[in-house]
Amino acid sequence: MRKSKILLGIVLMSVLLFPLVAHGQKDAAKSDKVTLRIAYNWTGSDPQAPYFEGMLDRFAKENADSIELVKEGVPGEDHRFKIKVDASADNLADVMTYWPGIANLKPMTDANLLLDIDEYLKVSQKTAFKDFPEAFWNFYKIDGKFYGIPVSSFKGFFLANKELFDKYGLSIPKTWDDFVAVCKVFKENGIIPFAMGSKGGQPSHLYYSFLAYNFSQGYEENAAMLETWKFNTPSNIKAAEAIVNMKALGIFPSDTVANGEWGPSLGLYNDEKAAMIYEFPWMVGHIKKDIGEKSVFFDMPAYDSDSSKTATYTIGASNMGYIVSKKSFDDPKKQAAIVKLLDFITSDEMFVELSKGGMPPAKNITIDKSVLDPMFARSLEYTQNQTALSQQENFFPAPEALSVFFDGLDELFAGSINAEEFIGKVQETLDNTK
Amino acid sequence: MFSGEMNVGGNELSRKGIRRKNYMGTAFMAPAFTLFTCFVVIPLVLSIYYAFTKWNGISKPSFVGVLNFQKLMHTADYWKTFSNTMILLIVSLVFQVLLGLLLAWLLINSFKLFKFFRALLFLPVVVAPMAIGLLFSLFYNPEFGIINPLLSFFIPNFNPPKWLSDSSVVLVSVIIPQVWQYIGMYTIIFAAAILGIPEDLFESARMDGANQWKVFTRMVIPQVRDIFRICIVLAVTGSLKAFDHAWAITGGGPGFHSSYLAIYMYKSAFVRSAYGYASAISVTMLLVSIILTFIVRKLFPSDEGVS
Repeated sequence: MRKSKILLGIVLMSVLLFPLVAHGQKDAAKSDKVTLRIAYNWTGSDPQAPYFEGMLDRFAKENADSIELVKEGVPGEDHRFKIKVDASADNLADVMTYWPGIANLKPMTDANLLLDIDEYLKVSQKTAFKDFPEAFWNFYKIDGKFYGIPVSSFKGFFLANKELFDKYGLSIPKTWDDFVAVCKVFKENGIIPFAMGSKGGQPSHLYYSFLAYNFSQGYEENAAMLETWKFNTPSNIKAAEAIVNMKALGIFPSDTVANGEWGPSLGLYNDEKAAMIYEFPWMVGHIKKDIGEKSVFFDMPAYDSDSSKTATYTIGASNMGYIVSKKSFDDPKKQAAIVKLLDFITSDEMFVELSKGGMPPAKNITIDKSVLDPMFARSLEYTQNQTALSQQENFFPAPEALSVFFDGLDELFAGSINAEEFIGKVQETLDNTK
Repeated sequence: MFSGEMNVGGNELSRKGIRRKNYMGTAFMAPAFTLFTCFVVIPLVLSIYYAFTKWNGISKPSFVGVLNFQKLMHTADYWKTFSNTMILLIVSLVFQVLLGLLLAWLLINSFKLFKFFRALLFLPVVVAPMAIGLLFSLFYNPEFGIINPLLSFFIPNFNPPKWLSDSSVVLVSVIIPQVWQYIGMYTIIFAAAILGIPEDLFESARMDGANQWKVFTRMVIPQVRDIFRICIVLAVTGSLKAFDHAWAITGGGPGFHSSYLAIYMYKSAFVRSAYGYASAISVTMLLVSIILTFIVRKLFPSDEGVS
């Protein structure tokens, strides 16, 4: 009996220790290969997923003898949290996709976790600085160094469901008064005029930026925020007041949280419950084909008569890039493999593949439009002459203030706070974190 | 003498046996103790340390004393999420624990298909809270959801609120699915406790002329006292760590109108990169749970405590 108890104890202990031992042996068996981890958000139902992951699989297959590629795909905003947790644990993947901007990158660059991309460009035989427009590089520039390779660029565009306009005898609005009149008719007929909600600041922050730049010096005031730490500028105050007025006119969905985020906002437009929408390339793959065919692109009329820019600009920037772990790149065993992977994922071929999923490339390449989604090709054509102005997100100097901005937008769109309170909240956070 | 020798020998044997049992006990406890220390004790101690630092989660933490706690005390968002958590706690105690007990009693006494209804009530408990949250976020949608048409059908001239964006309603909207999901768990716990009461007691009570209400209040409630206490502790701890439903439905918004302390802590750490501040929130959550557990123990002493 005693022996059997001891035996049982040994067996139980072995079972507990087995996974650790087995894991160690597995690693030992792979020791002749370099293991590379790539963390990215183009996975799941993301339109880029089949193209990006397909290319990664090809890379893994082609280099199976020397590189063990570990794919760490986490969709959407959860990817941001994953990278933050990995950074906290000093466990960053070797190569990652990530958002640009000081608020996103500076905590990691301050801790010396990210590679100065110049280090990579010095050793790469295939990728060069000139392959990408300098304007896109600048989104990843901190203290004179570039910490990310721009991958995707975007330009927003307004869509109107022409069939709905025709049904109610309406024309595409040319002036703000036209726009308000059109919205009134749609509202009276149970149609949401403009599918713009706000949950976690999505997608409202892009429209808010669009509105703020509508006013005199709007872009300049916001672009200076990195230096001035000032959000309570005339353009932002006017934009917040414009949101309050538009809400009062019933232009947005009645429940802006329930219809916030990208999916629900587009869902309203796709189901013809909304007549107009401000949309972006990463959602093009989710626009229903028949709705796309009924849609026309249009220039949103200027809110304020002191602006004449509305038809000539839209919100656009590089919104995603590759960042590299400095620790991994400095590891002599890994560097060559990382360069190989970066060369592959910055190749023209990769950018062509990504464009098939509706991603405008940040690289200077020519795309054969016949291989693109028709709606995406139309959006590229429509926005090609519009000036792209970066969204305010890239000008926030601190992540706390950016988060308060996003949360505040939810409240502003929901009507929980007024324009003054919204501006005050964001400015107070900027003042406290400066 | 003989018996004394035997006793001495017996004591030696007994000591050896105890020592051997101790070795075995230690060996069996070691893995659990190690895991508990690594994943509970050490993080807890570190959280308390980080609460006194300014830390963005990446760079080195810098000691700031009680600054984070002072900041908490003067932040409206903290008190908003604190009061939301307390409201959830009260609602959970009333609608999960008390109603759970009542439902259990009614199920046992009033329904022939007790086992069927027991399974039906327990079904939501096994579904992931995030899935329930997503489901309800669709239900509440004024354009696609089923709640407004249903209410309009039953209530003439019903003017539906904006379930998720009206700051005076949104907390109720995120509490409802949470309470609904777990009410079955408390019902099952109480049903098991009631079924454990000897049948003789019920027969005696009936012979003495006690009606159902008297049986319930004078006999059932005192008999399930210990289970009641456990359920209260479960409801308290469940409320203090509530996260999933509100996160899935509204992300805690608009602003922090539907956030609980756990969401505020999560956003502070992972969205705002204020890990020191978030740790201070977690320390206050720990203190609140200790205080509430103490109150529960005082209000509902165990049978051993009473004796």
